[in-house]
Amino acid sequence: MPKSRSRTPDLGDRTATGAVLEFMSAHRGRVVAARTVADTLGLDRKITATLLSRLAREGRLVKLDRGRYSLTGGPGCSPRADAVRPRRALLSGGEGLWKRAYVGISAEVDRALGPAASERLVKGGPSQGHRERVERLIAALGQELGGRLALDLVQPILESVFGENGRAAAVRLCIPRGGGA
Amino acid sequence: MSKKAAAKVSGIPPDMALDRVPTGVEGLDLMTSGGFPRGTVNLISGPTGSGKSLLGLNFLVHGASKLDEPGIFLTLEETRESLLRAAESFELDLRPLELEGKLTIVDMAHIREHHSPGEDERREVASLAALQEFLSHFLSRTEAKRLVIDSITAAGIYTKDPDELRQELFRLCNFLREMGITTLMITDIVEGKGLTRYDIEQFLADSFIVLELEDVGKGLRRSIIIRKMRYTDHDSERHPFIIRKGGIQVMHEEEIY
Repeated sequence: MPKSRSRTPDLGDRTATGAVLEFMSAHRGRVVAARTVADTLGLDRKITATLLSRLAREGRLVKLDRGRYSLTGGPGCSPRADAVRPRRALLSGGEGLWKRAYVGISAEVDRALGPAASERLVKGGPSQGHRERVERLIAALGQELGGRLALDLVQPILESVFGENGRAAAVRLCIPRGGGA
Repeated sequence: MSKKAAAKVSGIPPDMALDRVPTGVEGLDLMTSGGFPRGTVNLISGPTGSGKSLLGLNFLVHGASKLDEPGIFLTLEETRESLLRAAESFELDLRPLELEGKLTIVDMAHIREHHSPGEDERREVASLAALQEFLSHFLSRTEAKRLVIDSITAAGIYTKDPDELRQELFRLCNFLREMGITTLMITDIVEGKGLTRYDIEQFLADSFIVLELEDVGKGLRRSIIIRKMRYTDHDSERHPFIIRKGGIQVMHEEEIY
């Protein structure tokens, strides 16, 4: 097995530093292995390790043992890096729950960005189900606000509707693998 | 400074260096030879109640309604509803402009309030770096020509180290210039304590306007002074101004000593 796995990164218009900080922010309060960051964002492992090390020197991250990092450090951090490896969180729920999520997020967008931006973001095909609408809206929010802010807006709502799975799904939707936020 | 030299320093293309962005504030545009140079970062400072936010609204409403220049009002402390109510009290109806997409009020205060359970997380949402990251996404997807940030004080408060704050603010100002958007950045001051909150904002902005409130016994007297404006001549006298229906009016022919 090669030491350094990498695939073509898809960082959108972000720099690698921006993408890494965004990823770490999404996992604030937890410990993340440098390898996980690299593999998730599709970056070279050695380059990622150097980047993380620099960010730690600048005080923007906390360096822990065995190539692991945290945004905040402290006792609340999970000791298991695997715990934050992104998983495709499956949200189970009927149309009613998805509708609740959609209505909640739309209302937040309306309040945060106003009617015109809201209209631009929430438009979708009339035949779309609420799940598809939610996913589409979150993707559009990620584009408009950046993954981190979109996550701040969306995560509490998905969590309130779907519980802990909703929280994880918000990370997956706002900061997808490959970093295309 | 020559037009070419000004352009080199500012990063503004030479042909745009003297392109003006009028504020629409009666009297103020006369003090600045026609408005802010396009693509510059302009700092407005003043104590609470001095009219900073209103000046920002005047700037955006004038651009959106008279010059077809869409604008963004980024509020970090006041909520959208509070801002709309305040604007209405001055007979500035922002809702039609919002519906037409000519004005976008981004309520960062709501996002922060909605999310923030702890200081660390608030910092993530509201810091200057987070603000720049948000703007890099948002501005690329809008046609906005004007931006008001109300206030930079609210974003800077989470950066404790003065050197770091200066660097972040420097990066933000440069980013805004690169985006070519004409920005009005608001900073609060505590009366009697300096000209700006952090005492560094004025060095990084292209222009620096101070709104003052003076207790003259029977009430408060408002005045405005341009302390700095790069690339252009400007009036450097202190002039009184009033707040009336429709916004701010500067009495540019009157002086205060």
